[in-house]
Amino acid sequence: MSVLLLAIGTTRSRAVCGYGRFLADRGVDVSLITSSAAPWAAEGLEERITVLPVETAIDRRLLAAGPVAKFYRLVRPYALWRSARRRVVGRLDWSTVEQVVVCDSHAIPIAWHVARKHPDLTVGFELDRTPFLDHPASSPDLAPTEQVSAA
Amino acid sequence: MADMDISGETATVSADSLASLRLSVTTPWHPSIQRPFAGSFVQAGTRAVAARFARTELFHTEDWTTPAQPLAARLVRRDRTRLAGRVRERGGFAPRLSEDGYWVTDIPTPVTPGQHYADWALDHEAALGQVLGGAGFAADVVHGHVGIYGGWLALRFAPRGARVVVTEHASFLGRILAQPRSRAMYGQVLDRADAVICVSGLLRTKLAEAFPAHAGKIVVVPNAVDIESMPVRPVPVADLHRWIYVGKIAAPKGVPELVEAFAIAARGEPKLSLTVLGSGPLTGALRERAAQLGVAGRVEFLDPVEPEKVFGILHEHDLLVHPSKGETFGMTTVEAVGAGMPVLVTRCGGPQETLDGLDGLAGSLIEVSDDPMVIVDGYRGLAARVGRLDLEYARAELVRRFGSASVAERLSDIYLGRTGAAAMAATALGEERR
Repeated sequence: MSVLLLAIGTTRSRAVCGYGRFLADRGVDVSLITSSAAPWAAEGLEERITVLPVETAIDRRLLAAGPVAKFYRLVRPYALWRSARRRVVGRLDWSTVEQVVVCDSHAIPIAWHVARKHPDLTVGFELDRTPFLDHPASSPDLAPTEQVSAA
Repeated sequence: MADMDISGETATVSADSLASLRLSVTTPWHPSIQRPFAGSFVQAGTRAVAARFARTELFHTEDWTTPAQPLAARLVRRDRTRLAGRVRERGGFAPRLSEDGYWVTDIPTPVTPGQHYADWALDHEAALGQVLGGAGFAADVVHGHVGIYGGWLALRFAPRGARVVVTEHASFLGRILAQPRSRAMYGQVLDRADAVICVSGLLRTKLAEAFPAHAGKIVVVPNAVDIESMPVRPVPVADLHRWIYVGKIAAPKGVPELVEAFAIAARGEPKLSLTVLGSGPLTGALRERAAQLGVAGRVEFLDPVEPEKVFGILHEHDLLVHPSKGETFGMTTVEAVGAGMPVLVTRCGGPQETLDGLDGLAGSLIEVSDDPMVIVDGYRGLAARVGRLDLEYARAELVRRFGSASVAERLSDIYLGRTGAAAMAATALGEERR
């Protein structure tokens, strides 16, 4: 059983780290598809979480100006999906993935394409904790906003 | 939501009590896993009234910033629409029951940087509309927080006959009103609203000046603050050596002046220390500045903590300094006095109203200034008369003004439409003081 988190940047890092900690504490395998692995340690992401970077060559070269960069910014959401598909999505063992959680807006195109490719997979904007609530937690001290109740 | 009329009707709720009614609250700010400290005033106000209704639901449209580039943003928005439809079909966006006794639905809302408030309001409308699936709120009373966001959503999704109440507490109201399209939308919100609540007299004046035709329905009701349950400093303050600032570390909050002022005050007082609790764009620069001023060892920067941990940290200090340039209410100051702490706070809008009559008892009010000496002089004056503080009285007074029970009573009257404009105005904080 595993959960895949999608967050291209760190604008919603507190949510990503919170989800990651909740799941890792319950023995769930967690992977994070993101642009670059570099900033996540500073954001407090658990080491137990597998980070799968999908940054493109253009991201890595940090083209901040010029016509190529201008064009690239137009299509970056699509370019990142193509990169994710080539480098990660095609290689994952999807039979073990229970949920995909999109955690920032930049990752939404990847989430949508994953959802289309895997019609039976649960893909949502927040973690459904219900399947994991009966897992014994190694650090049960959760903030109220991290708790969940069924509707 | 093209099929939903924008109704200009004034609603009447035909009930003697709220017990049989349903309340829907819509807000852009509410504590979430990403922003655990956001919208605590919305949470406190909703908690205060939730048990009075048959059912209370809160819809939290949370900003998720898209790429700034318009085409890329459109790609994200398009895929968000598709994905949200799929999520909804499969039972997603289910509300969760909060510890405060009301149901919460968190709704990710893509917003593109650099646009107008009108555009962002429409983004919020699109996101909420998808979750509601083309229906409106199932509510008798709809309470929207912040006119251009929650107010607009109340206007768009409140059923005919529902009573619409809008609370304005945005510090950026002036910017909204300066944008013609946003201002026009705001006017529509006021047309539909049955009552508009401002959390301070300053905000009410600003709004009434902008929309004089609606002045009669704009009242002042302060934010609810759960002062009754706040722990009080176990040992009364005897001196003011340990300063603390709590909030965003940014220029509009006056934190640069605070660091300068501390360095001046600390020169002759070796026991003085300063804790800056929060985060913000100036954190690094102010650390460096403290080092340049030779007080790095006496200024501690702490990352934000959970709200319930703030009181413990406050109680390890002697004085809350809040040198903001502008506050619509000044929640931090009220909470500090509620926790038994003296405050040194600027007359920056909200605080001179919230602490009206308490200058010298709860602490000291100082002028808004770029001159750090104003803070230094304020501190020295307060330190000289620390024995005359009456924090117990100040706290009791704040409970009377802003306590959950007190504010819940006022909100209930407004929800029920029991009070006409004149009577509502009489409940206003500003009127009470005259």
